[in-house]
Amino acid sequence: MFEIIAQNIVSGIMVGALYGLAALGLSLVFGVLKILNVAHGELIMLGGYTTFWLFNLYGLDPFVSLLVVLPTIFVVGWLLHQGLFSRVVQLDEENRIKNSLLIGFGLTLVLQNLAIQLWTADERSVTPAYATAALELGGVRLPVIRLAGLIIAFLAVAGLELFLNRSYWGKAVRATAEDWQTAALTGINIKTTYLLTFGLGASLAGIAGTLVTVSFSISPFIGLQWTLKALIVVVLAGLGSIGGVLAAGILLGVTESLSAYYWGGEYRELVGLIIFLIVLSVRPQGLFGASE
Amino acid sequence: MLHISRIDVAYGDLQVLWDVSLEVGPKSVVAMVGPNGAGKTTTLRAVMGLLRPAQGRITFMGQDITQTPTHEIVNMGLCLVPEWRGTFSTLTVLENLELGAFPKAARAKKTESMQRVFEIFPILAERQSQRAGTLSGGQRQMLAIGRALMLQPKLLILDEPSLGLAPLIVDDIFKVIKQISTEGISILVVEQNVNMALEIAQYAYVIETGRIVQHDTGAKLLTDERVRSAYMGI
Ligand SMILES: Nc1ncnc2c1ncn2[C@@H]1O[C@H](COP(=O)(O)OP(=O)(O)O)[C@@H](O)[C@H]1O
Ligand SMILES: [Mg+2]
Repeated sequence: MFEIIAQNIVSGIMVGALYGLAALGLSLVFGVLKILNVAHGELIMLGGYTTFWLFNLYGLDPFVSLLVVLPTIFVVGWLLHQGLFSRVVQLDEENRIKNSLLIGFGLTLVLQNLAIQLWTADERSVTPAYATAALELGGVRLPVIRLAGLIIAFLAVAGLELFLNRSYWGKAVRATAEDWQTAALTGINIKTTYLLTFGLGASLAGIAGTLVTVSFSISPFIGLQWTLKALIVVVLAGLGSIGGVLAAGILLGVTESLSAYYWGGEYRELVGLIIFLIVLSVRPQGLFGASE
Repeated sequence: MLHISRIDVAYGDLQVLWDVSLEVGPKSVVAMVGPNGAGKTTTLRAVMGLLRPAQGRITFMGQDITQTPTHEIVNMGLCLVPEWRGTFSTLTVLENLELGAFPKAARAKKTESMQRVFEIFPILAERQSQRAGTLSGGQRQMLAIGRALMLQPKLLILDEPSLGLAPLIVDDIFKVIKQISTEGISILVVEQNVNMALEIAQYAYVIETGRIVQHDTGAKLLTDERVRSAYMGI
């Protein structure tokens, strides 16, 4: 009994870390550029396909493929911002959100159809030799792949924190998030800051895509469901706390896992949404966000 | 070094500046005074590239900056301490100052600039690891000026440095402004505190409802009857 609950909690943590990672880039971009990129899930999909094809064609280990995924999806993000979103960022904040939503929805359709054309609508996954390997810890099973995913999620958060808190450009990103006019007056090229942030957000989506491909499976249609998950986590976490995003992801993962255990699989998503609504109405700044 | 020549500026369809011209020479202190809503801040926004004038030209050190991006204007040595103070409340005092030295040229002189800022404002050295959001109004103004000095500007523009500060602190701030100006940095100060501004300014402009209505030396304007009755209640 205790072991089953422990197993559910552990599984929830591992899935939840992936939710957190999926939300990290969305939160970063929203916090700095004040735009909502609903095609974030499609960037996750593209990261996933990069890993899938590298494994399928060249036998490249999915975790090693991160070294390719990261720069590739960064460039994709860079181009998308340069070509599409940079126009939106010049608008006032209300119009930024609206217009970014329109662009994002359009982009979702384009990327989805492109993926269908290029790679068919088949569901894909990668199965390296260690796909089913697992560690046992006090009766709790820890699949190696999920464990690695957990570690990578934590590394991504730590890396992002380090970048934002220690590097000049990281501080420029934080400054721009707080007040772009003052940032510009400080000599920061905010266009570059925006590009960099969007690229980073995309890379983080790419990493999440790799983990989705090894932990679950991908198809051209997975984007929307991951965007929604990420959105829920972003709202749960609130803006301004990178660690909070991961924590909120894990909280959602554990809640889903436990409610599926107690009430059955059909309640998995529902309970997550209920928590989302409660937090939204009781604590709109999110669980870890600073109040205004 | 700064020439604003005949600019018109509008927010959307709403024009707020007409034919505004202003000049700041090297090593000088110039003031721009006028009532609330006259267009002082708007003029400064246009200078810094945060707003583009519909008409007219702005040059700095002989270069046309009318369409130049803000950060490049800053890199040229033209720096604004905005009305809204311009400090990053979620960053520490030290991080704010470090960011001030963001442009490459300033970065190389970061340590020496920082020392200089701490000499001028010892309180900032004491508070360096505190978040800027926790500072008092006066300290935040000092941080904003300190941050601007990190850029080693050639021309420092201050938008209402006395706004919302206690008289004693205003005195301190103006002392610092004078001191900075003796070090060869030109100053353009915008104020509703007309008396103090005219006292330190060699030359001054009076702006009312979007137009320059008077300009003369600070000393002359201080004794000018119109200015005295309109702004000093005398
Ligand atoms: N963002 C804005 N949008 C529209 N009108 C503005 C904006 N900012 C200022 N104004 C208007 O422009 C005029 C000049 O304002 P401003 O330059 O801030 O004056 P000052 O700095 O001299 O007090 C005022 O009438 C003000 O209402
Ligand atoms: Mg003003």
